[in-house]
Amino acid sequence: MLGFIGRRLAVAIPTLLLVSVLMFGLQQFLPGDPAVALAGEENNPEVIAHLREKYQFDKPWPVQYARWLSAFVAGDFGTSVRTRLPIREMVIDKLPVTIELATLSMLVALAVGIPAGVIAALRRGGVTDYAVSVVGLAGLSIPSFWLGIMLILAFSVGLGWLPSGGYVPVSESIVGNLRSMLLPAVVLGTAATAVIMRHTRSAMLTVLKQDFVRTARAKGLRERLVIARHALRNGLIPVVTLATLEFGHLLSGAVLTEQVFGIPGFGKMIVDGVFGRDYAVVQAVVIVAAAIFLLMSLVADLAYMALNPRLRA
Amino acid sequence: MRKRWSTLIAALLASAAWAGAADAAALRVGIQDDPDALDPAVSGTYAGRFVFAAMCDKLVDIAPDLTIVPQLATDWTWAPDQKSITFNLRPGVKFHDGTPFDAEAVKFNIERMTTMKDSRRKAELSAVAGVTVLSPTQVRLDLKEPFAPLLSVLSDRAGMMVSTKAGDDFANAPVCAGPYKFVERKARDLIRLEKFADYWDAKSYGYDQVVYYYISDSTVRLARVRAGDLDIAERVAPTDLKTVRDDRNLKLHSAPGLAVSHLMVNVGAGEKANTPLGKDARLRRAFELAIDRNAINKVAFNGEYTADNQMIPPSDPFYSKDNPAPKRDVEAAKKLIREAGMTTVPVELTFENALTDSRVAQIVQSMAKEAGFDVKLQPLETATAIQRYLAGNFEMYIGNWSGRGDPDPTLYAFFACNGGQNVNKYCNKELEGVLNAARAEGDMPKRKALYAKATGMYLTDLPTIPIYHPNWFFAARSAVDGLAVYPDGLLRLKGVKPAG
Repeated sequence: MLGFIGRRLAVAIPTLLLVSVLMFGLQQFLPGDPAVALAGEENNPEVIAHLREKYQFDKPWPVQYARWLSAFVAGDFGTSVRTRLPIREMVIDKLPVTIELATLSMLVALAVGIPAGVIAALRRGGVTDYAVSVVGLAGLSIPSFWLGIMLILAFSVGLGWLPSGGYVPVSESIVGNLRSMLLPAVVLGTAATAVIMRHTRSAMLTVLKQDFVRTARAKGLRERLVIARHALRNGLIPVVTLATLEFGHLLSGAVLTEQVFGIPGFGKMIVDGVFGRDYAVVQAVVIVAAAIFLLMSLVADLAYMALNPRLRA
Repeated sequence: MRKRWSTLIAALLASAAWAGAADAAALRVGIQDDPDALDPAVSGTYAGRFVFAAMCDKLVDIAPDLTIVPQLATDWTWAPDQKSITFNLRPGVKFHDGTPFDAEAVKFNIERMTTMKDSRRKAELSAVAGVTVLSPTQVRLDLKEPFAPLLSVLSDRAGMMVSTKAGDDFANAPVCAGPYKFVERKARDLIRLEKFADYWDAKSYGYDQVVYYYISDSTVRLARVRAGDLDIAERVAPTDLKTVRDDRNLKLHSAPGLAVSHLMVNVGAGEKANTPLGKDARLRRAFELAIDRNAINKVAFNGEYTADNQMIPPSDPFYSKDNPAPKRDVEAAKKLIREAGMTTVPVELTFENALTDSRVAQIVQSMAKEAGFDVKLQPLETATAIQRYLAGNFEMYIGNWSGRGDPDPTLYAFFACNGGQNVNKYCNKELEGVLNAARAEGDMPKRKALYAKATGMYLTDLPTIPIYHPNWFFAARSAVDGLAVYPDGLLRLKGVKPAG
């Protein structure tokens, strides 16, 4: 097991390096001069030239990359050229927020998606199954931006039950934190709920046809036990893998939800970074996101091993 | 079970009410953009100016009618030759770190702005030759040549005074002499200021704290004000104004703005100037006649903006009433195109791919088509569009200029042969002469006459076709009292207080 983890981590390092080189290289192809973007409306060639020199936009990109990498490895993520704030602090500040949002969204997705998928599988072809499928399809197709605004209008403007946005840190108030995260978690979790529901349904349908389920029923076990102990446990194996990978998507998909609810997360950082040509910010965010993604896929494999004894050998 | 739920809900609501009470003296403002570096010397964004308005006092300020009024300077006198100006400074003023504000601080600031390597105020202050401290409360600015717009320049970032202890990391913890002092900034989230107890006019400020939340989407910003989670939302979209007007918990505050949106034609910059439109002023006139500014305003902005043909808005004292916007006349446009020996005129219109400009571009395209213009739309992502704009790499471009309190920074920048925004390389020496004369003219009526003349000249050559001036719309909770919107769209908090 440890050897497996070690091997995976060893592969992760060159992967991250590759991602960073690709990112750095690709950013060079982005049209638009970062120094010009930075100077904005004030079109003063002297200022633009100074900015280009100060942030070394004038150096060849391999040189820029080498400088960036050596600093990054030493823990110096650089400074945002737009706001002049240190990027490392920004990442430390924002990453937990997005991770919390993604975690809560995943909880919503699992709490709704698994039971709904199981029920749909058990009532295959019935009204409930169709209803679940339709709701699932809707969950996948509704744009999160629209859903977010509708929920704000209903629950914040109309009923006044929940805040319309903003983020309350846990350190300030746990209740406040959960209140501020509830609507965003529902919005972000909606698509994931639909995915998990559909996969649970099809996994359960496959498992329910298996011999061991028939055997369990033949033994006279109560149907509830057959489903919970035998069918669901096996049916969940692919779902767990999917959920872990879906978590990575939630992290990267949080952008729009963060935008609608004004949550100061990771997603907003990268969007603003790209549009403002704040390359150092984009670079740091992408590397950290890639690292999380790799970590999550490792967790997925470990979970798979834990659930499927045949792989433990 | 039901009882437990209702208890839980009651507890949650109570906690919400408690949170509201704790923030009673905090003003929560939703802003559209995340400010850049919080240093008046290097800042380049409107959002930055918005925050500075509460944090950094200037030597002078503008009144809603754009006249110059005292702020850190109580009064001033121009020398008879207009080549220097002497300011009397407000005594007893302190910066947020306790350092006294005096004539030495003014000297420090002007020199900082003009010498700091990445200062963006150099061009604005280029007329200043030196600063002389006459006494702790009196300072003189000597000019290289007479420069009437100086006071207007000093009413913005160039006139903001920062502590003489300002160091390299000033932007991370700015120290100014305004009514509110910096507390914290959470990147891409919020900026928190708190009332500065030692401010010289502290009694006029009704909130203990101001928090600016960065919320880029205008619908979301408005929804949060409607929900009571924000007190003020700046720049409400014209299409959302009905919602504000219909909500009895909200008040709409508006003012005519200084900005202008215009169709800049490349008349002299590189290859893209070699187009029929770039070479022939008759065709540019025809283009202007082909579009209906009022219809653009109505369709794209619900008629809430100001349709107009000049770079300076009608609300500005320097607006030229002698040059009214021509009515749409497709037949006259067609006639001009025939006179130029053409039937169809190809034009490529470049713009930033944002909602409003895209909408305007499409309307312009369909209107101009009726007269014989074949407009090809070229939407580009912002940074790319700006780069093309600055390089003069366009045939026609939808320019959005924020405007200034004085006409000089707008008209000189766009129409002087080497003006900072003259990216389409338009040059009319006679017009430049008039602009230079207006720059040096201290007498208001004479200056007005010069700008009226300049307006007639650029509207004849039409290197750019102004279309509309956006207006400012702020939505505020009714509980916010004393709010006034200024032409520069900055939120001044003097007199703003919780109602009741």
